[in-house]
Amino acid sequence: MKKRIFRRRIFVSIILHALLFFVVYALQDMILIHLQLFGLVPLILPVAATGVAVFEGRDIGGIAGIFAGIMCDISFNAPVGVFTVLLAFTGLLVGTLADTVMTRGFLSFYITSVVVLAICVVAQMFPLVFFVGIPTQALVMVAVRQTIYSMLFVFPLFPAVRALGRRAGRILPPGKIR
Amino acid sequence: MRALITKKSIIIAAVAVLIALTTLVSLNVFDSQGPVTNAANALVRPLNLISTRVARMFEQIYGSIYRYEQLIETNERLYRELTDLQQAYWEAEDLRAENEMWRLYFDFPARRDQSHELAAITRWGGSNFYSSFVINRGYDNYWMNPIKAGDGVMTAYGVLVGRVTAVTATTATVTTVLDTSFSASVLVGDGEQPITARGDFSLMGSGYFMLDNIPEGMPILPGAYVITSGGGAFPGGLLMGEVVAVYTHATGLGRYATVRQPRPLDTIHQVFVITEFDDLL
Repeated sequence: MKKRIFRRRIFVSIILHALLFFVVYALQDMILIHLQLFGLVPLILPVAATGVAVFEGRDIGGIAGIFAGIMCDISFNAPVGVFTVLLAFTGLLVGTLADTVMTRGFLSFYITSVVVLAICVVAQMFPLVFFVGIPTQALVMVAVRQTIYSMLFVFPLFPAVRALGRRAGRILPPGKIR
Repeated sequence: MRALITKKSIIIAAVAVLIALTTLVSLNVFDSQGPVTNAANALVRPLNLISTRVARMFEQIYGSIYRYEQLIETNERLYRELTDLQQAYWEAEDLRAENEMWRLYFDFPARRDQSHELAAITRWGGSNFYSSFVINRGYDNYWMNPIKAGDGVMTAYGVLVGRVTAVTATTATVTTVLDTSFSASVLVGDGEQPITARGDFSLMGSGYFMLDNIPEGMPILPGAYVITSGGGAFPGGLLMGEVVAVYTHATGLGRYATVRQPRPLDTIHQVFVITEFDDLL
């Protein structure tokens, strides 16, 4: 009986996570692409993956990173690979930090999201700087604006990822460090 | 560190690396984007089709509400242009007939037709660093010509908008003329000397691309039309845009010009892929 309840909870949890990433993907790739701010499209999937890693820990964070990465690569019309590896690793790293030394809360979610977004934008710029030879200054301007715009989505995503984390029963009382 | 490197995390990292390696091998060995990319694209395709339809519906509603006056003005202008062009067409018809007569007389080669495949744009790339879109045609096109990497892509009005860079069974990724990886040999105005048109990152956001390394003494004025020169990856005579302005490089050496497409790329919904072409034979 307990096993069945456990399985049902796992199933519901998978559905809820899939729903979150589907909504975020749809927002990034289907809605905000038509409603660009200063000609830019925000990068929200890494923020959602980071949020899951912060509130649910290393393993779920890593898995969420893989799926968010695949969606990101598809969203950029690129072959699946770069962002899949990148977000899987950042998910594992952020999740480990949340499991060990970091308090699970809005501030840590915000700071880790900024760091992950910065890593993502560097990965996007890398081939253009080293293989195409585009001046870094022009790229940095777009990179900074993209990161700032994407950071705005930490606010609406926070309640969703926190609720998922609470549901998983893994959030510790505020301030407590595991 | 001990908390990070565990059996589970190693498995997760290995799965991510394996997915990337599969794609890398597929790209380099089989010239395909790999099973994961194809599966993910197939999964999101219905969603993209729905979102494209919804976006177009909103564009139409927005257009009918806010752009009504502007559309009437555009319609009037286009009607005037059409009348002028009809007159020019009849004059050109006479010239064409004369040209054909002399071509046969001197046994000169003829320009042959191109093969096109109509495709709809299903998704625009979400990256701020690249300019690309996905079309709903691939290498498995049933009774139609298969799409290949390198094929040129143009609008219904014969304006070159990009090149196919990756193909799956049912979709193809098109890199636009605005992307930094794009370049083509072009002619400007009545000029006969080909120069290079290429995408430029700083111009990409404004929908312009660049004519670089304009030879010394070559006259280029704003308003001149830019067309493909042919003999390369694209057939000759395809319109690419109109020169907006000509500048001297900051170093003082050489000139460059900015070029605008006749219509903003993000307003295009359907394109033609040039699957086969022969320039002058």
